[in-house]
Amino acid sequence: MAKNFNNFTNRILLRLGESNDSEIVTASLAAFKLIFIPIATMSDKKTSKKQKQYAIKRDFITESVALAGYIAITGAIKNNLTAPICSKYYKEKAKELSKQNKLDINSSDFNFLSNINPKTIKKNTKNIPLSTDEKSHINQLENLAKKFSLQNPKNLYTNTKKTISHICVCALALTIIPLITNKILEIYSKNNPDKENKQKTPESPYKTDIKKPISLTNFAQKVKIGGLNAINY
Amino acid sequence: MPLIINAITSPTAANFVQNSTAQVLSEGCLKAIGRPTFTLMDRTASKEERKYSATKELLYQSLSMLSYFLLIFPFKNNDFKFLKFFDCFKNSDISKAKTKAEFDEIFKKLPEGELKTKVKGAKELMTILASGIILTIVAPQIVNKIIHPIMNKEKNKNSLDKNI
Repeated sequence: MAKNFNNFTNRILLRLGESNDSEIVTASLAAFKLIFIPIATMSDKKTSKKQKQYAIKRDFITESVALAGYIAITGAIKNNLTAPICSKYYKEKAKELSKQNKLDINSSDFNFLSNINPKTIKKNTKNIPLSTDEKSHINQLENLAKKFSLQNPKNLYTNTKKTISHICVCALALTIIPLITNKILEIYSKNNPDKENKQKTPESPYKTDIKKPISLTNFAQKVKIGGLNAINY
Repeated sequence: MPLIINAITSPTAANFVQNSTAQVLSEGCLKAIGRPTFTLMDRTASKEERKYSATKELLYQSLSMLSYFLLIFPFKNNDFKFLKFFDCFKNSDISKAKTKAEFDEIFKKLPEGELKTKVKGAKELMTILASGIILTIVAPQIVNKIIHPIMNKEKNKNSLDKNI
């Protein structure tokens, strides 16, 4: 048991030491908040029950969406976008080098840098076995990167992945998560119309439920003075 | 386009986002803007409920960022003292360091390898745990105490405006 726990801790330490991607930190904080923030709201004794219920419901939905979103959406985006961006980086650098007259547009190096296969970069970084063609592709890329002082494909992939994951987390935190929460609350209120209407009833005892304007004649018809209607008095 | 590609692929940006503190601070600041705005836009709840929730979220995010900023750096300066609680560092010199300078010196001398990666990982793990405790246990206690005077002030202001 203790050995298993030690192995588990070692794996976590190695993972965090090698690559501390944004989604790991933000997702673990979302998990913390999912438990502790509703508890803190519940312990607030000075707020009305309805306000607390809404705040707890909102916090719970937001943090659940955040937890799922940070892991799933960020993971999917960085897995699919990193390699094409790396390939684009080499293409842009080839253009830059040609503008600086360091690389001829018609040369084979220019063509090579402009047409890097994203899949090969991804496979190379993830240590997936490469075919002979792919190996020579990577070797040539590494040589050119050294020659023109560009980023090494493995480093480039790792750096880009980290930055993309942080951009994703920021975009999710700023707009996407609150937007999804609003949509979920909208669907919830449509499916539970009675509960929501009850919640919307005014709290103040001074507010009335008058919907139609009262005319003085109508009012006089209803009021009795000495057993007679006020209108006949 | 080339500017965006350069920014995304830059090693400086990658180093910045690799830091847990920077990640928490940037995400928290964006949350402080995004969440209250969308809460106020939510038409499924009454105005009072939305106002309470949005004010609470704005206060919570801003105060938690402030308390995080104030507490995390002193913690980070002393986090090496907790390394002795990890089994994997018990026999290593790194857990025997008594001051930050001593720890930094031993850490610098460590060869690139599993042990150095584990030390980095342990430091990040401790930062994550400390962030969790600061943001979810300390900050809400402060927010709960501050939110009512602020909400009452706002209520009084509104009622004065209506009376005028």
